[in-house]
Amino acid sequence: MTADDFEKLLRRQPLRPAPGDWRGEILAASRSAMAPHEAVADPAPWIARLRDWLWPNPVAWGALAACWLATLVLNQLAQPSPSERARAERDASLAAAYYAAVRDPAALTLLADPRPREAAPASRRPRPGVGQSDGQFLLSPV
Amino acid sequence: MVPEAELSRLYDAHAGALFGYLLNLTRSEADTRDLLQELFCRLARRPELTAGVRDERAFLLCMAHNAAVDHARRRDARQRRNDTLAAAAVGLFAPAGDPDEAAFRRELEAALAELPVEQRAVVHLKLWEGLTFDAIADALDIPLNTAASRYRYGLDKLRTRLRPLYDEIR
Repeated sequence: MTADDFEKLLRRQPLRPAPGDWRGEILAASRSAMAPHEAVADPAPWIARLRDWLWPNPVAWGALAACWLATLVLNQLAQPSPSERARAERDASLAAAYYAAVRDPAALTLLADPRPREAAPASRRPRPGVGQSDGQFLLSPV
Repeated sequence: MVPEAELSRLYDAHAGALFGYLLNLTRSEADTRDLLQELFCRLARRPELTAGVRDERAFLLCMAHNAAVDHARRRDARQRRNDTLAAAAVGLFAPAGDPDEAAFRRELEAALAELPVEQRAVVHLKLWEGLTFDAIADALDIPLNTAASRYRYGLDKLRTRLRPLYDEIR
């Protein structure tokens, strides 16, 4: 016997069909299994769509949502307290005042030597920004 | 689509094939009925399972296979009793009018019962469901080569077992 003939012979053997009375019983049992599911109000269409969309990997989506929540919580915890914020604002205004003073040579002169002096001739007074940077100006003699 | 009408359609279209496959795997009509009912109850509870499925028959056979495997794992305590049942005739094939045909079908059923269930599943899906090895590999979640080799080994055993009878009735 060839393999082909043997396979054909086997394929020709018809399988017994399912008992006829099973159909009604199994479908009735299926309907009763369906009943509790249908008794619950159908979810809104957007919920159903969301569920269908998330279904393939619900655990992965849940983990991602947990990560976002953790990030949000950590972000809230990292916010400065009102006293810290007030101190930071005070420091910022001091820094701004210092920066303004550094940019103004007259104010810097006044800070370095607050004694009243005679006004120097205009031709001898160094001019800021001409051949000198701010740093050089700070180090030059008054 | 009405789920109830859809269930009836699925039953009419596939219950025969699922019955044959489950009966061949479990070798018990009672277990086959339980598993078939379990499968349709599952489909009733979750009608979306078959939505978008390309090959409905292959998908349902895969569900039936998984249900049969789970069932086999659950019944460990009854294993010894079922092993003896496995050799008993369960009427897998339709009755034949011709005595030679009837004898061949009885022997074929007994020969199938002697195959390991993995080979029996592949042989059944290939011979009586006409699935390709690709589809069988997908349905049983095994490599393609494994599906092909299980079929070859199973068929060789059936041929060896049935050769005398085959030569006689030919």
